[in-house]
Amino acid sequence: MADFIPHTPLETKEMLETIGVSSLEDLLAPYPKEHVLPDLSDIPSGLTESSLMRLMKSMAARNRAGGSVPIFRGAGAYDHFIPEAVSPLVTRGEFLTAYTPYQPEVSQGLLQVIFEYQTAMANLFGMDISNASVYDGATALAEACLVAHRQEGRTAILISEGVDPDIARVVKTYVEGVGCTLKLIPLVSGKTRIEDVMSQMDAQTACFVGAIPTFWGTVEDFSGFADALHQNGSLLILHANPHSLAVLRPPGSWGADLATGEGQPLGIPLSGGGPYLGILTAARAFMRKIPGRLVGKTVDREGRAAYVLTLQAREQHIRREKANSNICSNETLLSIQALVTLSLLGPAGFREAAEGSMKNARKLRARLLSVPGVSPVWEDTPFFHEFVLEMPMESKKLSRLILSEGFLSGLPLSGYSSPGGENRMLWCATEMRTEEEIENLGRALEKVLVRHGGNKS
Amino acid sequence: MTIRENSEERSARPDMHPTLWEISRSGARGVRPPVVSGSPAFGIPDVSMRETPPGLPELSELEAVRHFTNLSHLSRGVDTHFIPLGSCTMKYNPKVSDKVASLPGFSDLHPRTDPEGMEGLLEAMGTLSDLLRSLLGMDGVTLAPAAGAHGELTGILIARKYFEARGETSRKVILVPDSAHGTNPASASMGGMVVRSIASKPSGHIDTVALEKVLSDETAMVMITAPSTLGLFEEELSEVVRLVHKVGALVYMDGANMNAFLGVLKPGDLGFDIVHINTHKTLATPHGGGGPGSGPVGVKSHLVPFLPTPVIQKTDRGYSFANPDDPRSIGPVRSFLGSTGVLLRALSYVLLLGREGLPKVALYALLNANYLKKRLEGVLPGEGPGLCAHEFVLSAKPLSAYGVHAGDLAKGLLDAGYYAPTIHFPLIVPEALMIEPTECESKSMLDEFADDFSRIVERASSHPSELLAAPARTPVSRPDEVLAARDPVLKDTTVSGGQFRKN
Repeated sequence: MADFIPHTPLETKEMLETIGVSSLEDLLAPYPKEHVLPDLSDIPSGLTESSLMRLMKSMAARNRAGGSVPIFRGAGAYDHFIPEAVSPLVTRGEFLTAYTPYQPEVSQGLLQVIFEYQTAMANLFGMDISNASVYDGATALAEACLVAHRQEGRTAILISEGVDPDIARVVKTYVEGVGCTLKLIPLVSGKTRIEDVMSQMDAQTACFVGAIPTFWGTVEDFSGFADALHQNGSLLILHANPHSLAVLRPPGSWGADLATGEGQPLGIPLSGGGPYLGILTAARAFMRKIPGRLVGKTVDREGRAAYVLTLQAREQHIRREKANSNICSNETLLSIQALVTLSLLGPAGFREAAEGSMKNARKLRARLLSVPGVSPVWEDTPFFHEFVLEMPMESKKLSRLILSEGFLSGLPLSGYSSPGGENRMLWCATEMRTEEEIENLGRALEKVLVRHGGNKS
Repeated sequence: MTIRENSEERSARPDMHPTLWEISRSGARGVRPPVVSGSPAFGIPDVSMRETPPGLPELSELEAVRHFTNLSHLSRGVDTHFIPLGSCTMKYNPKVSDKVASLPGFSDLHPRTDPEGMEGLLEAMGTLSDLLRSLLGMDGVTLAPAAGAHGELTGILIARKYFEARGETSRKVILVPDSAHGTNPASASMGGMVVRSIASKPSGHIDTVALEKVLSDETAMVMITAPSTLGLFEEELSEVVRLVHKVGALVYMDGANMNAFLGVLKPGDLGFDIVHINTHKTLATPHGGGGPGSGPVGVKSHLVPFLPTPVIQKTDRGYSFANPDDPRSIGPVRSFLGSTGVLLRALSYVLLLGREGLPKVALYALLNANYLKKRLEGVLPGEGPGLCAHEFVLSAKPLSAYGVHAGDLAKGLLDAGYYAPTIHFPLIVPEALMIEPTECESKSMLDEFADDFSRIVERASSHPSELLAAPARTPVSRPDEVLAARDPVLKDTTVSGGQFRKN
């Protein structure tokens, strides 16, 4: 019913006359006649705004989402506090409907915001520089591994089992194309041992990838990793949850050469999986080797501070097949969203939120462990806001049963290799959970186990 | 020259717009997160804890709101200005689509929710896949790619897997016309393929004689932008497709310019094996200042098994995830299902327009481009009197005599209250200006633009120094790009929050 075409019939007629054709269909003359104006009968008739809203609301209502179901699941996407001021700022048309800031004189606002985002990410990750974003955390890590590969053409990527296995699969998709292989470094009691990294290291090792915290929630000690890798001419890449960096030691402090992360926890809605934000930061030595846009500060002709896209000689529109990456569109609006969120929270609020997550996660763990048949996988391994528990029932079944009680449980780890397992779940609590929700979840779990008879293993 | 009203202001002082760190006040607080009680003893060894807080700005809520609102005034979007950027399709982004994406149930849905808890999203995404399959004339669609270039990489990896499965591993060459977007050769390299460029004829069309000579049993795929970046429909497309298929290779369509085909031509009918579409162009999802985009990929039946995971399938009980472990798949290209917030907007757009509205998009995009091309005829040389598709290319070459280049014209247009066209692209046209008005601009806007454009070109020859000094009415004049790249300043050094490296 809508088409967003502003022409009046008279205007259309005048325009056709100016062009020198008699109908709109005449404009299709360059196209092959046998294929123009195809049958569209399998496309429904257009909707009005109100009927569209009705339809989409009915679809939305068939999802079990955070508004109605307290979320105790993380595993790469988190239910965090998003200040109400974020959305009105980010959806301003000057940001939302702008193009990539190729014309700096009329894009100073956008460019400055990206420059500020780069600053915030560099500071948060403890790294020298950040690019303007890539698609998501998984592709950020994949791109970082490709930077390591391009250094000297080395083809082996050592990746800790602490990295989200689903992200590792994306990395595999990316790096296999250029002839690289992934070698998994096992976790022992939730930790990557440096001796396991060193024993796998050889002349083909491009990099080692570790996670802060691990996918399984544990917090590692990467002391000595950077030195050991650098001695072998290999890079240290750390993939970090930015929310955790409010309190955990940042990648730069561990001596990382490149550090990546999924920016979703920084004020970006869960939104069923995207659009999210790929954070890619680096030591300055890699400034000309990393992919994606970079905004730099300079001056205009009168000496005013001005911002521009810079070091574009790395990019596809200049270097074509020799570019550092094919990336063109990135996730600028989400980077603005992350920056606005961090600006509203400030360092104190950001830390309080992270500590809130950690406190709630510990309360959740204690409550769940009070349920008969639930046991820890590791006793004393330090963790951030996620942890693995052994549940007394097959985890996917348990997840479905808890969902029908109105809670999104921990992630079922059946199908995951160790520390995953058939009866294991990866639980998470953020600062958004309340004591009441945690208690009610505990009761729901007890009810489900009593009714469906968990197998005490 | 009519000057459109701008809220932008040229500042007299060098730093009119301080950074967040320059206005930061130690101890200032903005919004408070939820209060959580409990012990701060977390059992994490000191070695793994942060020593100094990250260098983040400290502001009141109002200060933050003002900062970003005022910066927004220094940027131009479709909501505020005409953006005639060729190959970018800067059309109106319906507000109702934004609303749909932000509906509770979608916006707060965890991507790892059990499938039975995300039936609504699966139906939305399944429906969009079906609609795109039909509009693209393809047999299978993936919604995963996060942008057009990501779709290209996906397509390259699919082609690679397809030939591996057939035992034709020597097929490593991707042919790309010299008029193509830079992403095409870059995507091919990233997928581990060898790129060869094919020269265009002077008319801008693919030279089929030259093409036939380079096609061999090593050719994996030919990537074709349709219509081309010159806004032209390949006159010998069916011959090109026939030649490529004859040697057993695939034909890829870069669908960046799909707005010219929407509802009036299906890529699948033209013989393409793979096509990507940019939802942030053709399907009116906002470009967001550089993203998020989304680049769904459609493939013909022989390539369906190779699509990336996860795959949504239709069963008698609705839409669900297919078996994630099909070894033929190229694997996942990103986390989770796709940029669903973007894809919901794309779905909303297609549903709003429906079968009646969709063909009008292409028809009016062609109308506007051809009208503007006609209005600018004789102002600068172009590609000739024939019909163009959704965009056209002019050359500012004649102005070189006055020392004025395409980039200078662009700056003049900024002063006149527009965004600039795409400049210096396609590479095969000297001093190129690529102009795409989209179907959403009115005749009066196009008339005004044509008048302003003509006057600016006239001033280029009569008063070239004026254009070389442009823009004069924007918040800053031309930034020194050489200085920016010489010793790059990539972050605000007002704070030293980022200096953690120990080695």
